[in-house]
Amino acid sequence: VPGSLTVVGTGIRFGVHLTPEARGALTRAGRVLHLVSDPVAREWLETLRPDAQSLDTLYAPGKERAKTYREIVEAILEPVRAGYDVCAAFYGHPGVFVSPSHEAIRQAKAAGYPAVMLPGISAEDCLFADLGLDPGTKGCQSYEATDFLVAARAVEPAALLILWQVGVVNERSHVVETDPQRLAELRDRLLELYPEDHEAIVYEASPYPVGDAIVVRTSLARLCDAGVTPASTLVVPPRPSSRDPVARR
Amino acid sequence: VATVQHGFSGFLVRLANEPDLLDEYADDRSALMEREGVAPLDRDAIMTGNLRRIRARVRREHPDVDDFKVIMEPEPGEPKPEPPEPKPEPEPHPT
Repeated sequence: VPGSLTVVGTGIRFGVHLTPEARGALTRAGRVLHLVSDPVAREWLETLRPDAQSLDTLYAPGKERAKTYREIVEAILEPVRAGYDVCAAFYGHPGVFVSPSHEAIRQAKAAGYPAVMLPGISAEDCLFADLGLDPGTKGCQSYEATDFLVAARAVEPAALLILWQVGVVNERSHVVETDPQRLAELRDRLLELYPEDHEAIVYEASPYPVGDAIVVRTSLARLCDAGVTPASTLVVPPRPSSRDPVARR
Repeated sequence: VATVQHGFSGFLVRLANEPDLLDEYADDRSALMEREGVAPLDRDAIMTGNLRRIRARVRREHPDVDDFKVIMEPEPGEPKPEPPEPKPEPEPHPT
């Protein structure tokens, strides 16, 4: 069957995080569709493929994201069905916190088209590097913030906790700014598990080849004053356990 | 590279596409930016490393785009788990 799908990640810092195999897939493809995180990243991608089609026009303030994601899947699969070798590029890792990439691959395979995903550098990779944290030290829990809140996920407070998409917690539509009331619901849930003065780190990696990450260290009680945006990730360091040598003193 | 890039965005795109330029940036970013004609306010923003300041300079060239697009929706409809049954107190050992 003519037509194929390759899904790639561009990494977080555009250009400098692109792997050679992802670059090859982008340059070889018959059609390129992309969703990158910044207008300059889009300019950069279009230097590699001036004919690339951006998917960000499918977003609109107030529009349900689930609908946008279904449209992204369809936009990717349409040229595959027309016989093109399609490359779909997403910022970060294309399989980490990206719903339509997995769905597009599932549907392409089900229809008999070759479909693969190539990994990229994720926001989590940048987070561990920028914050000097190792998920192996005490373990690491990683949840999407809405899922964490709605499904009341279990937490081991003695391990690292990372919550993604905190700036759009409990929000099903595309928004430009974080709703402080929804963020307060998340804070209140965390305060059931941790003391008020427990550290919270609001993090955002730089999408540019230059610049430092945004790192705001605050307390859980003051989370709503920490400048959370839709691009923010929340890191909650481990709570000292009674088995830690320091805590036992 | 398909198009010639201009302005602050163009400088960032060139850094992303040209490894030799990135090496020069790592060696002496101030001298490189001066040579490349990066505007003084853009240079100042980069020298601070402050992402908010760098983004604010980028936004001057892209005033129409100012939102971050998340690409993930958790699966809906999963009920909250029932709270665990309280464990019975252990029987005291006879002494």
